[in-house]
Amino acid sequence: MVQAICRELELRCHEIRTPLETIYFGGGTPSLLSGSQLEMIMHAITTHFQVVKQAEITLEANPEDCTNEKLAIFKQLGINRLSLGVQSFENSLLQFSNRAHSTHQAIKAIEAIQSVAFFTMTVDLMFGFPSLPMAQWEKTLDQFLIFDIPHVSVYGLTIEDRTVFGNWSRKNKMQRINDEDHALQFAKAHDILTHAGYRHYEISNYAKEGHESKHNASYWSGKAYLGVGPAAHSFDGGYIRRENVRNNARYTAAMEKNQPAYTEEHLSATQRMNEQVMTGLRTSKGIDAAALHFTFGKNLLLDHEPIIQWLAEQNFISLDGSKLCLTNKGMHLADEIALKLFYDD
Amino acid sequence: MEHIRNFCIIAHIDHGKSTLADRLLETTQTVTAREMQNQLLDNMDLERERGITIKSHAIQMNYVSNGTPYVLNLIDTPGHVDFSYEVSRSIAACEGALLIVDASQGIEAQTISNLYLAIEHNLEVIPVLNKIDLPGAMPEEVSDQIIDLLGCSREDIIHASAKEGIGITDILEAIIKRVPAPKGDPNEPLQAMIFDSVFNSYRGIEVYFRVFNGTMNKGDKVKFVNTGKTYEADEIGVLRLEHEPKKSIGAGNVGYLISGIKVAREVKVGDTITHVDRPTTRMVKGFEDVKPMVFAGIYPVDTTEFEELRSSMEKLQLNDASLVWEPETSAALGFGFRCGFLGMLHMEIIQERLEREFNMTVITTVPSVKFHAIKTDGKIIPVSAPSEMPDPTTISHIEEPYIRAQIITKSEYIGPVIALCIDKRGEIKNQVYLTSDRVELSFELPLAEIVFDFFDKLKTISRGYASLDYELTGYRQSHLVKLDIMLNGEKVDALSAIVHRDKAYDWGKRLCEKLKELLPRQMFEIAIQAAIGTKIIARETVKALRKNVLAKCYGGDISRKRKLLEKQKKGKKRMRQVGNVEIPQEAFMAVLKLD
Repeated sequence: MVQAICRELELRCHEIRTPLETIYFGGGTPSLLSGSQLEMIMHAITTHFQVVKQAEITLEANPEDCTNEKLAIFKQLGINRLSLGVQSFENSLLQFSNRAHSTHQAIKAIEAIQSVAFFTMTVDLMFGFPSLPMAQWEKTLDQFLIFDIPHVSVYGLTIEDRTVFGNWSRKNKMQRINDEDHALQFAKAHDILTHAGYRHYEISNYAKEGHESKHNASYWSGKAYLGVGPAAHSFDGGYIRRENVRNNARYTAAMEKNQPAYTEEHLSATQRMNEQVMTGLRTSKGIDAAALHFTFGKNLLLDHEPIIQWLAEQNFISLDGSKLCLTNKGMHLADEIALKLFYDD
Repeated sequence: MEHIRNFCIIAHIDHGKSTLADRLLETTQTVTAREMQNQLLDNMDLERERGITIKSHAIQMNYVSNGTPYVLNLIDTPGHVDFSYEVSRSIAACEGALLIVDASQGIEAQTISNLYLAIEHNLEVIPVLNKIDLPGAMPEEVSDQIIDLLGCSREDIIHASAKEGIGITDILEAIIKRVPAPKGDPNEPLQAMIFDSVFNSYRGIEVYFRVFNGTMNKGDKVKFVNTGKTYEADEIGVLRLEHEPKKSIGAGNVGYLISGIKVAREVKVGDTITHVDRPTTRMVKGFEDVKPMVFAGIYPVDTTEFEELRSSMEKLQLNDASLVWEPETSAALGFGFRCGFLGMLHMEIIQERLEREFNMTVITTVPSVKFHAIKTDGKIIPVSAPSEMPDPTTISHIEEPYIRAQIITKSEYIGPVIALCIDKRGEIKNQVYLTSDRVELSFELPLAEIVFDFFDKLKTISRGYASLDYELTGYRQSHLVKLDIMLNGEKVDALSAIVHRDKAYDWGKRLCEKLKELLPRQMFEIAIQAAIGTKIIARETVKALRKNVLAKCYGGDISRKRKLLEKQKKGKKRMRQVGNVEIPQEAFMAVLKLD
């Protein structure tokens, strides 16, 4: 697999012509890779791409993989940001969501990472579990604040079909949290974290000043990115999105034959504009109707005037010149609002 | 003429009419086994699926009995109360009828009313006990019922199994021996009756007729007495499996006529055909202009498809003259059509045909009967839609159509059936035991009450052992009110209904509850109110949407998420807007789903 990934990096190096500003090891558990495996991949990257000096290089890690030895290897490879899948400081919830680590291990990992000054860190926290009372959620947030971690992603549990939770929910083995409680927990995170000096810079992301994820921000602003490995997604920065095959065997087989293994989606201008509205609205920067008008020739403020007026009156959005941002109230309904501002293809 | 036999089949749904017809066609070699599709006569897909015959058809067979060749004309009849007039015309075209009764089920209400029609028209009735091979068959008991009804002897009843081919020859022989040959004079002025018509997209309307007197020749100038229109008989012939053109069709026989008629409305079932030059003075008795009983709005789900819907409706009307419609506008639904149907089944059929044959998805509004609003000055205003109701202050009273309903059921279900009818504002008029455990109940009921879910409920409470037949008896004064539904204070015209005052509160409450289920949460709270005039009688609230946001939106999520939202947006486009409230199409059908 590692060989295949290195092959793909070589095969597709022409897709990104500018020096890499960010590198992200994610999607699954890359911290499981051995030092030499990671090194092979880093080597392939630096061989086939230019990388800027201060590049943000992130690795998603499970708490149980954050041993001192591993951390030393990560550091040596130039990884400077670790994303730790903590999820919760409640053992019962960790078990419920089938995580291998305990609260104790999570705390140990955080402390280990923080002892290496080289790393900056982010953790994931989750709310919206059917068995997470508000008091426990507050406790998790308070526990998080103790470590003074500069970045946190806060996700509401989404129960999707064809997943374990989806099946449980369908068979009534698991209750779904109601939308009111979900919204209250979302709001609670916002209150506690902004009060503690974090900026709510995207629906699910909070950071201390200067610690925003550059990598994720590039998704939202429409920069080009190359994703390698099975099921990885890429975007050319213009109108082409690519998705690799999901099946590992088919992926490695294709790479052995030096063949790309992706399907391509060619976006229309309308679809690109809709994407930008959708991702832009999620960020604290919001969307700039004037910039969109310039790029796509469509005047959002004019074409959707009545609904934008109404959204502003109802305090779902704030309007500042041509800039349009979601309010706290609007963030709960980001998708509902985005689709009201969509254009038909 | 003495070698012609004209007969129809009277049977309840599922009692095996179509299968028996198939066997007759096979045995007389009218079709070869290879041509045989199950239920050949029901050639609309919809008919085959529902296992019922919607439109009647006819077919001619040759049969040799004791060395003598005979011509048998089987005239098929529809088997639903919505189409009782068509049945009466088919019966009027025959001299005999096969009464098919399922040996395990016994006689049903619909069968009895059609049987009475046959007896009224002096048809020779040949009783056939079908499905005699089934383990649940009760030949003795069902025979008793038949003997009671017909006054025939036990030996007259033919035992058969259409499925297994048992008794088919007996039936054919009985048709020859017992059904009288048609009477009539081929030299008299032409007197023929239209009993059906079919739309053929290449050749126009095909008219099916029975000649009572005279002879129709190819090329004759003929006149339809009721419409007064004249045509040239471009092609005439008999109905084999394929059309078989002939030079002439004489008295006693059944045939088809093609003369380039384009509009179904010109061909009225029951009308008399005669010659222009030598017209008959005797119209065939029993002609009626078919009147719709149930009215509802039909609107395209997608408002841009109005013109498409219009052309689909026009095409439907070409082969279904009983469908009537006129354009209608609704504040909630936009442009659509007010349609009149023979009954609820007819309405469902039209809706399904629009969907299947024309690919139209439509919204059907609350079905209504034709009420009479009597104004203070005595003027009668017909009201077949809530929007047509005059200002209440100008009305003296309202009248509604009543029916007399015959229900046949097992004695153990008498209680629930009576309870249902009383709940539907009915009055029991009569109760007759047909056998020790089958009873015929007669009710007077407002037509409006059986329009909705009466038949389904009847089936449920009797576990399927109840059959219904009804006829309109007239208008009666009733305390009816117009009930409106408001969403955030805005009236939704398409949800208004005319209901009895005693039922208005319950109706309003249940409709509000149903709408609460069907209306998706939106960015604001929605008040659902039911009102009579300015008086609010029920209220529900749909709370504001609290959450519609996906947690993650990174590199791999963007495309998927955009598609998801675009799909949601498309879904919303199919919704209708009243005020600021988006209403999904199911909500307009909510009234049909109240239970």
